[in-house]
Amino acid sequence: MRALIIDDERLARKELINLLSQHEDVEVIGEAVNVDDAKDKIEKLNPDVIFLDIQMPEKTGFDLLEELDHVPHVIFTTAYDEYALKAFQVNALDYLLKPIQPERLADALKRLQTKIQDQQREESQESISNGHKLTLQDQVFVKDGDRCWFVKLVNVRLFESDGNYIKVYFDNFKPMIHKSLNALDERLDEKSFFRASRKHIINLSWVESIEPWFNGGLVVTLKGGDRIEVSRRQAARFKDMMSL
Amino acid sequence: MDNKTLIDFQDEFNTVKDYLNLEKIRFEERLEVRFDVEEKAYRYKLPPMMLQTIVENAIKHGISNLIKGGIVDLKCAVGDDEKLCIFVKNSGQLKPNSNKKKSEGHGINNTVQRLKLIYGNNASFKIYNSGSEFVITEIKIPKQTLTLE
Repeated sequence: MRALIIDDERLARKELINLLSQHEDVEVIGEAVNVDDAKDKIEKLNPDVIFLDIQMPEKTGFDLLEELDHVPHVIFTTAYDEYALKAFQVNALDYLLKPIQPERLADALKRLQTKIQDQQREESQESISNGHKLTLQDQVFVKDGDRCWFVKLVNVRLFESDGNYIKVYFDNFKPMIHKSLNALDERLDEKSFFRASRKHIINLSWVESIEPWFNGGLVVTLKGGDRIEVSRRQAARFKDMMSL
Repeated sequence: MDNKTLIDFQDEFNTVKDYLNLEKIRFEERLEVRFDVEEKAYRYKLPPMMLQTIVENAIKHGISNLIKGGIVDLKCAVGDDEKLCIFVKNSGQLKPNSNKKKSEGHGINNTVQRLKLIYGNNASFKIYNSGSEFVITEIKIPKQTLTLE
């Protein structure tokens, strides 16, 4: 889980980073010192969760939430209990009173983990119940920073996971989208797209050549020259699916 | 703390200094503290926690609301009328409606009432904007010669 820490006091941020360093599944991807700074960094870094102080100069943590188009999961961190009711109203995941107790923090993270898993499950169920999977003829909207594309999947030769992002390869572009490769895999038509490994999904219509590789794996060369290794397990599946 | 009506200036000043040292750890470069206390000020007595309340207000409503922080400047001087003048100047601005929030306003009201109870009309309290960047809180206290019951 990628976390952004928002607090105007350096020592408070440091303390929380220290506490979070005990949790391997949490990666602190940045710190923000006020609401405007936080808004920038949320848009740029797209964290899964923000640890949000309430009392900050000029604008409060609640002001921040009002300004955001897309709100990540929120765990409030504050020295005051008087905002708890309001935090509840804005759907906060948790409310940690400073000084933060390590056990309480662990509880909050557990709650976060459950919430994220539930959401992923819901998302994938939604896409399945949506019925049709995305085929080569479908067009998808891709946004990366200021640039947008509406690209036909037939032109996408490769999806490559990179942390919590996926690089979408087409033409000379490879914009990043915030999604897991597993979730994407479920949405794609398996006749056209193949999960080559933990890291890659390839477009089968772009395959130019296939060579055997070590340990029973395969290496696929795509038109344009990208070479993608197919893991042993997936190579077996590939042979099963594609053989006469 | 016992219920003394007045305590030595030195004692109150020590409390304030301890408090500001703590806030300095919290705000780091966002807080600058200045003291300018005349020797004669130490002969006066103060209502306990009165100066502390004012300095806390300066931090809470001044420094902590400013992204870049600012200064708290404490000046104590004795005027020609033998009254002790305390000026607390802090970065920030008084806003006309700021005491509508329920967390605000008690400190000031209390201070005014305490001064009135202890000194009658011989003490004064003022708070005002100084330019567009500072707020000054000003208290004048007569020299305490009588011991109150």
